[in-house]
Amino acid sequence: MTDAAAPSKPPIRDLTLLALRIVVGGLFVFAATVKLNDLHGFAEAVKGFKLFPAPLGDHLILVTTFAMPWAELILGALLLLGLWTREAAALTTLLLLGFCVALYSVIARDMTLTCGCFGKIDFICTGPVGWCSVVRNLVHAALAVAVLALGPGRWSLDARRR
Amino acid sequence: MTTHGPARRAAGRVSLIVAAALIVGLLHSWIVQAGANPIRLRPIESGPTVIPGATAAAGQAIDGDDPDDTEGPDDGDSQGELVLGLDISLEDAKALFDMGYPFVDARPPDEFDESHVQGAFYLTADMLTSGDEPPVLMMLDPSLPVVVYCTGGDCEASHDVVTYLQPFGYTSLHVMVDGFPAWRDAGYPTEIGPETRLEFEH
Repeated sequence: MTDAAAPSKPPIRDLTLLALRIVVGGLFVFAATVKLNDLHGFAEAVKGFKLFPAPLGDHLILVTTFAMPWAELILGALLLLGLWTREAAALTTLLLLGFCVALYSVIARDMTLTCGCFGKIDFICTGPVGWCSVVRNLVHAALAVAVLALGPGRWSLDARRR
Repeated sequence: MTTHGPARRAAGRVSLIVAAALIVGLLHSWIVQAGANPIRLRPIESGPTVIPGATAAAGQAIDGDDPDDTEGPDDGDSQGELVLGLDISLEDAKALFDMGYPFVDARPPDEFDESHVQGAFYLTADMLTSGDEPPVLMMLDPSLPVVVYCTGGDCEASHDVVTYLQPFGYTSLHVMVDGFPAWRDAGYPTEIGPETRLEFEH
C-alpha cells in the first residue's frame, strides 16, 4: 500500500498534538526561565525541601539548583520543536513524577515552605506547598504521558526528519 | 529488522539529554560560583564572639543554655561578658537588645508590619542577592553585633540573611533561634507598622 492511497490524517489530530506539546513544553520553558532568573531563590527553595542528607547534601543542592532548570529548558525546547519528542516526553514525565514525590514528602513531614517551581510566581496554586501543587504536577505529567503515547504529530521536526 | 535499533537510539537520546543538562548546569555553576555573587547555602561559622560589657536581663546569670554558647575556661569569672556563637537564646538576645545592638527582621513584609522587635530593621536574603547593596546596611555597623530573627522553629530566613551578610564584612552576626513568637510571648518590647521597612526600601 502506498502513501498516496492511504487516507490523510485529519489536521485536527495534528493540531491537538501540537497544542499538547506547546502546553507541556511551554510550561517547562517558562518554569526554567523563572528559575534561571533567580538561582539564589531557587537554591533556597531546594535547600528548604531538606531532601539531601549530609555530608553530600550541600553539593547535591547545588547540582539540583543548576542542572534542573537547564533540564527543564532543554526538554521544553525539544517538546516545542517536536524533536526527539518521545524521549523528551518520557524524561519530562519522570521529572514531574519526581517533583510529585518531593512535594508529597513536604506534606508528609508537615513542613511549610514554598515550592519554587515557578520562582516567586504563584501559578495556579498559591501559598505554601500543598496538594494543589501535587495535583498540578500530576496533570502536567499526564499531558506528558499523552505526548509520549501519541507522538509529535505532523508539525514537528521529528516528522520532517523521517 | 531488529527491534534493538529504535530502543538503542531512544536510550542514546535520553542519555544525551541528561548529559547535556548536567554539563550545561556544571558550566553554569562554575561561572556563577566564581563570580561576584555566588550561591551560599550556609553561614560560615567563625567561632564564638566575645561581647564585652554585657549585663543579663533582670540581673540573671549571663550564660544562656544555648549549646552554641561556648565558654572559655575563665568565662565564668569574667564579669559583664557574653560569649556568643551563631545561634543564641532568647535571653542572650534580650541582653544584646538592652545594650542597644540592632535587630534585623527576616520574615515576610506583612508579618514585619503586623509586629516586630522594637527598633528592628527589615532585611531579607532576596534584598542582599538582588545585586544592589540594600540601603538599610548603612544602619548596621559591621564591627558591632547584629541579631537576626525570623519565626523560629524550621524558619531558615534568619540564617539565610546571615549567610549573605557575611560577605559584607559583618563579623558578629547572631540568630535568635526561638524567633519573634518567643520574643512577643515573653512580653519584650515590640512595635507595629511598616515605617522602618519602607524608610530603607529605595
